[in-house]
Amino acid sequence: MGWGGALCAGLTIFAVPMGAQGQTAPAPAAPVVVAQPQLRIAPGAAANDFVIPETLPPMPALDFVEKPDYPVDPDKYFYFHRDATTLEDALADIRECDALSSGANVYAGNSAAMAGAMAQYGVLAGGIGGAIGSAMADAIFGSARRRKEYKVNMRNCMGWKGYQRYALSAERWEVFNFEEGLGRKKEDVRNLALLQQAMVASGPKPKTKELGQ
Amino acid sequence: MNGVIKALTMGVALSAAAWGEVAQAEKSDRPEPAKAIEASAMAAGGYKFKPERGYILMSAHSRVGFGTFLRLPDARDWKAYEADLQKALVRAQKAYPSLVSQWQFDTQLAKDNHKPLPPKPVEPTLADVSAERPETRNMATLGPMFVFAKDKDRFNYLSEVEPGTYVFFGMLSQVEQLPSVCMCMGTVSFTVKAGEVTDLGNMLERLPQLPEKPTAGMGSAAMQAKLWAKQRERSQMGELWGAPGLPADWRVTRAELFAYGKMNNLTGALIDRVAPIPGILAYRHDTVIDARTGQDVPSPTIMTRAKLKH
Repeated sequence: MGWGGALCAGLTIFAVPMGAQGQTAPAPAAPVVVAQPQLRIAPGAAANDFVIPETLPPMPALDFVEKPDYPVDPDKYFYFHRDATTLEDALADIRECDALSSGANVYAGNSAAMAGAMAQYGVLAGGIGGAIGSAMADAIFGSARRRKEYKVNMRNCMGWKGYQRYALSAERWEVFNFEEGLGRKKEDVRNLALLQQAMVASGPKPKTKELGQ
Repeated sequence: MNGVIKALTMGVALSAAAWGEVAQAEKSDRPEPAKAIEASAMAAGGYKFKPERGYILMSAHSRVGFGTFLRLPDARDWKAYEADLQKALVRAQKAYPSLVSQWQFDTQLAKDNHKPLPPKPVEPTLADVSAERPETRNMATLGPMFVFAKDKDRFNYLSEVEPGTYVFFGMLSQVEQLPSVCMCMGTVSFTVKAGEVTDLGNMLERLPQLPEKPTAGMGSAAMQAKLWAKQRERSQMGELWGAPGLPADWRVTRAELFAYGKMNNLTGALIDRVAPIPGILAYRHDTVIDARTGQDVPSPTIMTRAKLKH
């Protein structure tokens, strides 16, 4: 990457594709303007535009036997459940948490701080080194870190919504969950998995130990 | 070879000129960025009070406290955003004919070689172009560097900012070991008026303390518990207000905090929320409540910042 490229990378960290843009924090000073470009959302982007099909996918199996040589990792493989919750509510909750959690930007750093440093101390102080370093570190380590961040975010978000967390074996977990590192799964794959997670979250109460947030 | 070098040099010069033009155009209609002020510079006459600007003052018992504040976009910001989208569209439309020419060439080549035909490029519309979000155009980060003044018990940070309504966005870090955090699930807002210093005190030590129990984090459960205990200890430190070295004729007002609802995770950070503040901020599960009125605080439909894949 040349200097120009590095500079562009530094300056476009927060440029978000239109398709990924959504409604944002309310802007009380400009209610009229809010209803403009940011509402042009690509299909599948809104948290509430997914319709639950009449025929539901199969309910995932949750029973498993822990193997001594392959112990369960509850930080990686888990599912959520909350009592007295409808499928619609569980799906809305899961989709909101998924939207907050996906698109992690591990090493991009703080563009605001970078802009401040550049304004005060010149471009070299804030931009170029940071942009190259961030891009390289992200390509090398970002994927695993993103997967972990996604799970941490889901745990906290669903925890604040009052859901309990339960452990699962990796084999059972893979049937109705997905891992995303540097890329993103196709929307229909994600929608199906999130629907099955919602079926579990609103289904029968698990008999295994509650793990907490 | 000389020709190649000349062409490259010309290309770089043209790119630089084009970049300069774009940067100039995109700078227009943007508020001046936040600027940290240091007492030493002020004492040396290097900084003069600006009555048309606002100021945020923040204090902490140690250097670790830092925070990013997002100024809510106003009509001018949205207008600038739309103008930038239009500029991006014009650029994309300019490039479109050459994409079509390339497609025609590739199609002919594919036909000659009995290969699958490439898809025709779609003429760009506003939905296909991007511009920096208005929410992230005017963020102010205070700390941990650029200290206004310090002594053994306290660090003060002072920043000159655009007046407006600010939201405590979180802690945006550039250090890998210290993950960025977004207070996406509940936070506070406050007003910064022109010509006065809005004093946050040491709120970053006192407010984002973790809830009743440790939350999930990037480290082990034991490390999370340790961090939580440390943060709780910091949250119980005494209050700090004002700053030594601040000119006596500068008007200083303590920030009045209000409950603020959920936000999109604009920077793709770890999500968190500000702990409940009696009389200001409360929660019912994840619903943010304005404790002054007892009413739910409206929150937007949360959208992912990831690019969707169909």
